[in-house]
Amino acid sequence: METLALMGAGFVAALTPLNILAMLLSTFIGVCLGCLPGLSAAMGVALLLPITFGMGPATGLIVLGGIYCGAIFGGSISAILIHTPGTPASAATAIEGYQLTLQGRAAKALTVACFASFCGGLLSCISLYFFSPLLAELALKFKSPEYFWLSLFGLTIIAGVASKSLLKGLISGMLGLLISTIGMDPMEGVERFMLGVNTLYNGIDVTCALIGLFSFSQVLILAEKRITAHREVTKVRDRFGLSLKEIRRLSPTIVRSWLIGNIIGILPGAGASIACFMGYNEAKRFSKHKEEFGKGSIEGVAGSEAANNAVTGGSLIPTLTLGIPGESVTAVLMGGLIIHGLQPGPALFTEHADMTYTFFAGFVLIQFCMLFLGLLGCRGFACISKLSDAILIPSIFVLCVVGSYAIHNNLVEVVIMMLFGVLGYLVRKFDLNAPAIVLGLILGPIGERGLRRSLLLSDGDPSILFSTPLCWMLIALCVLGVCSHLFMSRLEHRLQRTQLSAPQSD
Amino acid sequence: MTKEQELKKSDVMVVVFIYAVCLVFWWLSLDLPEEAQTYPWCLIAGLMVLNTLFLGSGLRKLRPAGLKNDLGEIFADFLKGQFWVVLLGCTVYVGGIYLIGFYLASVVFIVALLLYLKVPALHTVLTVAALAAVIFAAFSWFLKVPLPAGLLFE
Repeated sequence: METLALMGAGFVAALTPLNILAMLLSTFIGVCLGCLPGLSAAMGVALLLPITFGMGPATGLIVLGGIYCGAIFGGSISAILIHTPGTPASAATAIEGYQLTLQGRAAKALTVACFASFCGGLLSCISLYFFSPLLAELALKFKSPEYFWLSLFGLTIIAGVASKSLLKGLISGMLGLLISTIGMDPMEGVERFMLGVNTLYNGIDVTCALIGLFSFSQVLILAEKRITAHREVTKVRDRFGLSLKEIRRLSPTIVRSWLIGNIIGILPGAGASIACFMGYNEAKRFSKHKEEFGKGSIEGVAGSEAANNAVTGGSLIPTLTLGIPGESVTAVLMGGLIIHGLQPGPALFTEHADMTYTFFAGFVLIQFCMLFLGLLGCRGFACISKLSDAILIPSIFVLCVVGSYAIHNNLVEVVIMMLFGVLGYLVRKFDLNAPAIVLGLILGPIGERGLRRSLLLSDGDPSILFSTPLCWMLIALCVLGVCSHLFMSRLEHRLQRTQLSAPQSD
Repeated sequence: MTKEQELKKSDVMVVVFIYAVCLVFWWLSLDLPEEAQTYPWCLIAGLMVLNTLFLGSGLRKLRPAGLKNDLGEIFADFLKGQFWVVLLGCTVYVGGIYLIGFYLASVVFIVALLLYLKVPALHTVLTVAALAAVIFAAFSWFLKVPLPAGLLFE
């Protein structure tokens, strides 16, 4: 009953004119960023994080959620129109979507992508509402030793996600933890590794690191390649819309992909790029029109898009309740949460329940904004895909500079952002793991406090770290986290190989 | 985890970089009081162990397949001149903000870089105008961030 009241209050708070404007604008910006090939959702959220500083926490999080959902959907526009997925989450959409475009049915493909994204995102909110408080209740039982293991669990999970080598992922996470020790020692109060730079007194600012690792590194990636003057975009000539018969045909695929995407989202370590291929694969397996696959199937587009958008709500569950983001975008979103003074965990569902449920309600409403903007503006968004990289390079960098400066009105943080940008560039080139570094930065202080407080309570006896069943459960999860990487990477490779070879064999 | 068949030059560079980072942090930690040293040392030890494991797994591949120079693959599309001009431009721009202020430095930076990247004049003007409007609205007006006016104009 109390939850229902909180849900209702959340919708009332989310439906203020300011929040509605924030949802529309952020979703619009997200779609624009998503449909630009090369720019990821994580980069967009990191770049626009500073703009949320002046907003209330709920509005700020709604803005970040809007960019996240918008970017995931936006990726499908360039996947369908120019056969270049805007984000990795739309890789499977490109297979069928572009075939439909070649047949002159681009508007149909875009409508299906938009409708399936809306349904996938909306349905994923159900699990966000119902599973988050349950997991948060479990997190209430956590004390210092459990927090230490939780931070390690988060690292083992994310370390395995984005890099091909698990060891490289773990090295990246550990590097992030080491960088997080820069600044004042939380227990002794002495300066550590500050090299006389007073700005570093409170440690490396997470926003600076995020902007550098995800946004400035992207500038450098764009700068090293031959500039694409402008991409050829196929004109959308057919009509937007779906018939009742088509909606009936797509419904089972969408529900199936929602379940797949949602479960994958909840599992820390898996992400939208895996979900889209799984959703597509299952759509093909259960389809009554298997012959259309590879030649332009609307079920294929719906399967992929519903699955990747269903990940968004699911992936927020471990992020908000345990502070374990399952992928890079949620790692950046968690950074946003902390910047707004909120620590992920049970407190979000007790002390800050009003804010959390306003964000949840905003997340539901964002799906409607996405549907509205998607159907109304697909032709316009298609033009954005044409934007030259030459214009993006200085534009993104200027936004990186002003964003990192705005944190504390300090040019030193711009320099720190640039250093992280160069690090991010090298990390991407040498296949290390940028999200693991960010997570190390975020989880470092939590883990350090957990470890040192535990040892203080036990007079230095490390057995306190193994003293409760919850500790053992988290240790088991750490081991499972390492092992799950092997399973997930094999699954992703197998799915990609199967799907990408399918159209050629047809 | 993918099974790599050869030890790659890029992996050797990663190993050297991580050892160097460990060494720098360890050297800097020597000045810390004993209580403040323990946690960073645990992390340094952990990082060294992981790095050594990574090196060991690479060395196992060295004997059968040898060392593969993959730098050519990693930097296959690398346009040296363009990359360094952009990076240098970015660095000079940040210095320029300190001297001539944010807005003026930004205009000079964007125009210069777009000219170098051969963007048509109309697109350059539109980019400058759009960015200036967005930054003014979001940062100067909405967030009230006092963007640097520059040493020369203060």
